Amino acid sequence: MINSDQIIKQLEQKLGSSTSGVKVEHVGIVEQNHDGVIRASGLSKAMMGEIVEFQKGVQGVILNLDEDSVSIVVLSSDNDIREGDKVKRTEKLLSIEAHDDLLGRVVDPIGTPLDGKLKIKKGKLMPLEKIAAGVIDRSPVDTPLKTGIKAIDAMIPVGRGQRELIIGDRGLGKTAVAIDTIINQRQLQNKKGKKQVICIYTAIGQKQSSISQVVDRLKEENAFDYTIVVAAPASAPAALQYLAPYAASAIGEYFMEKGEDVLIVYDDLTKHAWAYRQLSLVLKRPAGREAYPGDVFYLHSRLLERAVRLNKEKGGGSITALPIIETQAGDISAYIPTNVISITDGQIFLQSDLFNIGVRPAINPGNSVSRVGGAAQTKAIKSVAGKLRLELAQYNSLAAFAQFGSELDESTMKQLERGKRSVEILKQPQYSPLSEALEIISLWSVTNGHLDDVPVEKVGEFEKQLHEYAKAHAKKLIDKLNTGEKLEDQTINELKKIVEDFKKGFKISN
Amino acid sequence: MNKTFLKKLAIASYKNGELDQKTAFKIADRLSKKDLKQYIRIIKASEKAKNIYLTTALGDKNTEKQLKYIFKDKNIIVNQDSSMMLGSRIEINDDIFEMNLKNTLENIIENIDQNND
Repeated sequence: MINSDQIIKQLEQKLGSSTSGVKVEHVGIVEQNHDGVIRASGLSKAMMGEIVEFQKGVQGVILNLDEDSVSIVVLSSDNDIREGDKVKRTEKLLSIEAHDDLLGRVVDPIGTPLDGKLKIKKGKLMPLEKIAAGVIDRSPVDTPLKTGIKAIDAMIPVGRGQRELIIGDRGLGKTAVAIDTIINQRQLQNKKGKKQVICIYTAIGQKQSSISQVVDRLKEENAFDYTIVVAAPASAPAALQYLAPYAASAIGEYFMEKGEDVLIVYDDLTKHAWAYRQLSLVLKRPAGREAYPGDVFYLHSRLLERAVRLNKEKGGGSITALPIIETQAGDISAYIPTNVISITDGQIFLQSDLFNIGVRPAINPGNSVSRVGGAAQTKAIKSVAGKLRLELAQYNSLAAFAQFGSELDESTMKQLERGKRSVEILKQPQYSPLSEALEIISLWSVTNGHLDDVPVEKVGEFEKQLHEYAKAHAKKLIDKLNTGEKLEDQTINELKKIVEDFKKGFKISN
Repeated sequence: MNKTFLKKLAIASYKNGELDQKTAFKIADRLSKKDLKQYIRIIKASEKAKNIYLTTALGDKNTEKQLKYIFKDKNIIVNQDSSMMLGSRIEINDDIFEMNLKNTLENIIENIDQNND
C-alpha cells in the first residue's frame, strides 16, 4: 500500500524533472512584415518547417532559410506583428494532434476545432511532412473501396490504397462523387468481418457555405460519425490552405498505423496549387511555368505518395486518396492536371457534354481509367460488368452513324438499343449510393438483355422499383450478392427469376 | 545596392574594432533610405554580437566576473530586473539562457498544463 510520503516524493521528483537545467531560448527580431510573410533576423539555428512563436502568441512556420534571416509565414489571419518584435523557436516541426475524438469533428490544419464544440483531447503528435512508406512496407491493392456509384464500381473500380483522381470542369459533380463515396461507407458500420473506412474530407479554398452544406449532408445521411473534416476555407490564409492536405494526411496516418482503412478526399488540389503559388511568389522563390514554383509537382507527389496499403507486418491499414482537380473548359492537358494525372493510379473524368444531356454522374468511360482495375473488384461485379465498358464504347461509335438516319441491320439496331439502356442504367441520383447487391442486380439485368423490352425513358423507374422488389422478396439473394463471391449458376437462376417476376408486374402497371 | 556590398561597407566602418563615426556618417550620406536602414541593421547586429547582456534579479557581481573571465573579448552589459525574483538571464547573440526563479515557475505551470490537458 503506497503511503502519502511516497506519493509526495514521486510528485517532487516529477517537479524536479520539469525544472532541472537551464532553459535556452533561441530568438530573432522581426525586420519586415508584408503579405503575411515575416522576415526575421537571428534564429541562426532554426530548422526548415519549424514552428516559431511571436510575442503575442501568434504562431508561424519557417519556409525560407536565408543567409542572415528567415522567412516566416503566419498561421493565423491575426497579424499584428511589428518590426522589432521578438520571435522565438519552439524547436518543433509542424504537427497535428491526432486522436480518436477527431471523428465527427471539423478542424483546421493546425488542429483547432471549427465546429464550436469542446477542444479535442491531446493525442499523438503526427508530423505534417512525412516520408511515405517504402516499397517493402507496402502490399498490393486488392480490396475494393466501394463508392456505391454503378459507373465507377463497374468500370473504374477503386481499391483501398489507391489514388484515383476526380477531374472535370466546375459544377459537374466532382464533390458529389466524393461525398457519395463517403456516404456509402456507412454500410460498413457495425458489420461483422467488415472493416469500417474512416473518411477525411479536406476542404481547400472552398466557400464556407459549401463546407457547411457538405457537413450538414453528411450528418443527414448518418455519415458524419466516421468522418473528419479538415477545413481551410477561402478566407483562411494561404499558409493554412497549403497545409490542409498534409494535415489530413497526418490524421489519416494516425488511423492507418492502428490498422484502419482511411479514405481522404482532397477538394481540391487546384486551389492547393494556387495557394502554394501565392506563398512562393511572396517568398520571392523563382517562378516557373504559369508562375508556379519549380517544385509544384513535388507538392502533390509527396502528398499522394502517402496513400498506401501497408503489409500485414505494418498493421495492414491503408489510405485511399481521392484528389479532385478542376479543369478549365475540359482541358486535361493543362499544367496541374497533367501533373496530378501522372501521379495518380487513374482518373474519373467528368464531362460537361454528358452533364448537359442528363447523364449524371457525367463520367466519360472512354477517358476514365483505373490502373488497379479488376484487382479492386469482387468476382461478382467483375463477372457482371466485364463487358459493359466495351459495349458502351461500341455503342458510342455506332451512335454517330445512327444520327445519319441510314438503314441499319438488326444486330446493329440491337446493339444501339442495348447501349441506350446501358447509359440509362448508369445514371444515378445524388446521395443515393447503392449496395453491391443492388449494383449487381442492375448491371446483370442490362447486360443480359432483360431491359431490352423496357422503354428507355422507363429504365430509371424500372430499376428503382426492381430494387424495392428485390429488397422485399429476395433478402437471402441480396445477402449472398453482398458477399461479392463469384456468381454460381444457382445465384444466376435466382436473379433471373426475381427480374422476370418483377417484369410481369411492371408491364401490367405500365 | 545588394546586401553583400552593404556588409562590406559595414565592416569598413570599423577601425581597431570600434565603430568610426566619421566613416559611418560618410557612408550614410551616400545611401538611399532603404539601404541606410539595412546598413544600420547590419551595424546593430555587429554591435550586438560584440556584447553579452546579463540581467540579474539582485545585482549579482559573481556572474558578471565569471562571464568577463570566459568572454574576454566581449563587452558585458549588466541590467537589473527584480521581477525575476532570483537568478539571472544571459543573452548571447540569438541565444537567451534563463536561469531565474520566474522562468522556473513559468516552466512548472507549462508542464502542468501540458500533462493535465
